[in-house]
Amino acid sequence: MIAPGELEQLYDRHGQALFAFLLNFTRDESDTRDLLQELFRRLAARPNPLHEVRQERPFLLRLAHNLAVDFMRRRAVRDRSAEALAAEAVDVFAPADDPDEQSFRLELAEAMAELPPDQRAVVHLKLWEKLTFEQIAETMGVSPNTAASRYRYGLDKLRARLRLLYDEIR
Amino acid sequence: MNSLDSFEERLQRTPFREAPASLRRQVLQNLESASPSQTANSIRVWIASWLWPHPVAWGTLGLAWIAVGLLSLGAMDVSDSAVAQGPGRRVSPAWTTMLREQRAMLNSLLQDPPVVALPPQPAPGVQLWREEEQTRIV
Repeated sequence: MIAPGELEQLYDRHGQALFAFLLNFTRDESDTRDLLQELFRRLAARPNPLHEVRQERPFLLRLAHNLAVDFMRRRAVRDRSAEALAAEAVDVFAPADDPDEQSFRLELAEAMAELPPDQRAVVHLKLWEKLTFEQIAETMGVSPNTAASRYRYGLDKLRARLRLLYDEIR
Repeated sequence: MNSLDSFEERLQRTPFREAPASLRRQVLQNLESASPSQTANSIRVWIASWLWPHPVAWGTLGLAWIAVGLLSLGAMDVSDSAVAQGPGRRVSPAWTTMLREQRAMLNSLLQDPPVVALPPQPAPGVQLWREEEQTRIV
């Protein structure tokens, strides 16, 4: 059984990254809190959750992704307006003092919300978690080629959506 | 696509919002309150230490035993029903009579034939004398 102190350390090492990933994926802070709670509850229930785990972060992100996918599937059945919820602008990025930067972050948040969840997850894992396509593939249960193509499609959409603003503030 | 272009790097530099400090407390506190008692914990750890390394193997073994049990129960049901069917079946009186007759006939056929006392055979000379006597009388 994992000791409470170890769970605290685990949270301190990965809590922020898991929060960001789940928030970006679900687009809902309340759901993100519930999922993070559930993830740590499951870790606490397992006798040796990180036994033979080579890299903690990809492993935890995989758990988070699986939980989020199950959750969103249930939410989609329960609430057909799940997609509309995802498209809502959520403060996923930190606020910026510079107005140009702030507007770029808001636009980026909206552009991310418009991506399908799978593309959003791949873009997040590639850019902000710096995972390789092999690691992303393992995390999401797809082939590396699928992960790469989802990333390319997602990035192209972001590029098209943010081109003007990006050129302005560059 | 190993190296990132300037757009990707620009996105990468955009920081995500900090997780609320209350969330850490909430997550870890709920874990403590949700955790079962020490005894239950130790029992669970003991069971898990037995089962954990090969849960699939244990599961397969369990399924195999269940399959064997079901097959065995199925076989018992078949023999029981065959036994139960025998005395409970109604047989018509005519059929019973016919069976009885057939059984009696079979018994009689199987029994040793009755010993019949044969007339004593005359000696060959006596037989010849009798034939000559008959001819003479005629």
